[in-house]
Amino acid sequence: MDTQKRIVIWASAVLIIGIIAVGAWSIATGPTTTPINNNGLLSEEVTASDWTKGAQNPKVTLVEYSDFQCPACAAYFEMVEQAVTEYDDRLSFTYRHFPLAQHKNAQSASYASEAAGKQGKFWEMHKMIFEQQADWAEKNNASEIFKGYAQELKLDLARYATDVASTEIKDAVSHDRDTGLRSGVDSTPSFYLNGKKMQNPRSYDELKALIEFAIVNG
Amino acid sequence: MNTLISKITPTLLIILILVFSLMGFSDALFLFIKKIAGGPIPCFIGTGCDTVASSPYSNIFGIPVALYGVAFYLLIGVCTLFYLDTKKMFFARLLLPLTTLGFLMSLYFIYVQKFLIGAFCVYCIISAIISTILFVLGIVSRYVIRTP
Repeated sequence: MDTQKRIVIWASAVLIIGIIAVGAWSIATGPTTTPINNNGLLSEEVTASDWTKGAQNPKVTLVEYSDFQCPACAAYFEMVEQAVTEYDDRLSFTYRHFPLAQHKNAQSASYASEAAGKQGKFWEMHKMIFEQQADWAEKNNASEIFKGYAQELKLDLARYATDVASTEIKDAVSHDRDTGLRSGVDSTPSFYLNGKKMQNPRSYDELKALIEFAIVNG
Repeated sequence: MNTLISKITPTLLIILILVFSLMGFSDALFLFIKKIAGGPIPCFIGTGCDTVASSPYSNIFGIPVALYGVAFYLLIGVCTLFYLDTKKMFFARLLLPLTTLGFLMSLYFIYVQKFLIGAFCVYCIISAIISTILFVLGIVSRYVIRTP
């Protein structure tokens, strides 16, 4: 084969690979093909299948899409706990899973909380997972650590082990994630106050102000 | 079967291998970039993409599986180009072992998705289909590409 042909072959190969690389990069890092914008509204109302605590007949509902491994979510955990305690007669809080792909243990944390929920201790597990985030976030044996939490919570460990691996729990977590995507959630935590997307408050006072405003104005 | 194989010319076979290795390369590269850049993976069929991509099985020896895919398809493509360029049988004969390896890896990944993760990711299935096609083409290359 003459030199010219060889140059053509290798140059076009390099060119095609380059084009594909640039294309793959822009598709993968650019906005998703169908950017979902639900006009800042929550796509799925709070139902009985959600994890909700606080007021029985709330004036204000707060829904959070959260990832157990996201540091910001752990920071907001304290704030939300405080609000739920302070407004326990008017505010309800719903936790929905939105584990992100770049957090290797987020999913198993979600499964652990759901499995604890099967034994009535969702919120207890939720608290432990967030409060001790630093202990498990980057570990390779996170699911073992969660099992330790299950033990501390005096759960039936055999049942926990079955539940944590069950399709039912995986489906519940991915259901949450799907409703989040439909609502236009693209980062964690994302809060919805009375079904409307809320700017993440920068302090507890700001969160309080938002809740008070919602109590008065519905 | 033999008559079908006799209709495939070496040039056609090489083009097919190049096309499929490029498709596999694009698919794997997309997943790899998603893996390092983060963010949810839009799953156009099914919902398991993130489940699979964030599972502990998505790394082997600490390296993302998608990167092995990128290297694999690139290797097949480059090997084919080397054959096209030099016409050395060594490169043509490398195709079957390489594609067999890819095919076996794909079988393993399907097994992992079905039985260990319990979720499927459409990009991984596409990759498995492509590597199966490449494996078939690898077998065909034994018949079509002969010592001149």
